[in-house]
Amino acid sequence: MNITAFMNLMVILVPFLLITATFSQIAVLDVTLPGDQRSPAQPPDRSELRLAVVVHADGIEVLDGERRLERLPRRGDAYDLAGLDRRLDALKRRFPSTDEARLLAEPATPYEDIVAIMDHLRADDDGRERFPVIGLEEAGR
Amino acid sequence: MKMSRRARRMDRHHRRHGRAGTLSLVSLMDIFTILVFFLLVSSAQVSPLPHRASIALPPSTAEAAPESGGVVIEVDRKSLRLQGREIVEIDDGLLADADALPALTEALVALGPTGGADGDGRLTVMGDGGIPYRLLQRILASCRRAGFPHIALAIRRQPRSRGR
Repeated sequence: MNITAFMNLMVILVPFLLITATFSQIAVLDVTLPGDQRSPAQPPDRSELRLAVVVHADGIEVLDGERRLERLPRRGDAYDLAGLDRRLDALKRRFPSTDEARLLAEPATPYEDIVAIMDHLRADDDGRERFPVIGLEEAGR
Repeated sequence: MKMSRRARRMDRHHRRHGRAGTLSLVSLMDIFTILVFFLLVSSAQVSPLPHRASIALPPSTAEAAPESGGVVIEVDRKSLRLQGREIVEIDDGLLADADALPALTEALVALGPTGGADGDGRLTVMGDGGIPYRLLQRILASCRRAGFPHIALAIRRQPRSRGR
């Protein structure tokens, strides 16, 4: 059985395809633009949580409307995402029907930190939803 | 020719042991065949988003697959590209203002309401992980002003870390 031609083909084809193969690891994250769906007059329903997470250069603040619930200072060179997880879990347990959150950040915050915090806002480590409808806004000083 | 007994024995011995052994190529061919088909199939499905080495997408646990046929904005640390064409160069002056980027808004409006002939109004922003939030805000403001309400942020897929 003469398989030399077949082997030649394989030896050429396998490295060629291995080099050209790009294994796509890209996914997408959908965002809500501010003022897109929300009406200008917020319903003053105090039973509902109006969650806002504010990202400062030195830490994260968790707000309900204007009221500050918690301030998580930055630890070393990373945000305290574990603390944020705990607080968000507690809030989700108290307000299971709320799925909206606003994410405010200072202008200089790196995009990766925004995405990381959005991940924690959207879902917990087991993939259970927390507050998947996220509006992105800019934080005032 | 008449051979001595010893010569015949040696000859037989050599014939029995000195033959070149055949290579068993069956398993190698199996592997190659499977590998080639796998690679052919995986290379047939082209990623709908372009790949640019200067953009390090931020890692995220989001799992939605990117869709083809939308408008793509690429942002690295030096320039902003719309559909592969450079629109704005990024410098510090760009971060002083918080409003929409006029050049990007104009270019998006010029694409038409659905973002071109085969567009469906979807817009994907592929941003480098290091760009400041202000720039993202300005891009999103431009998109909103140009009438693209559905925005997707491209990210690099990362498995969820459990038990933290």
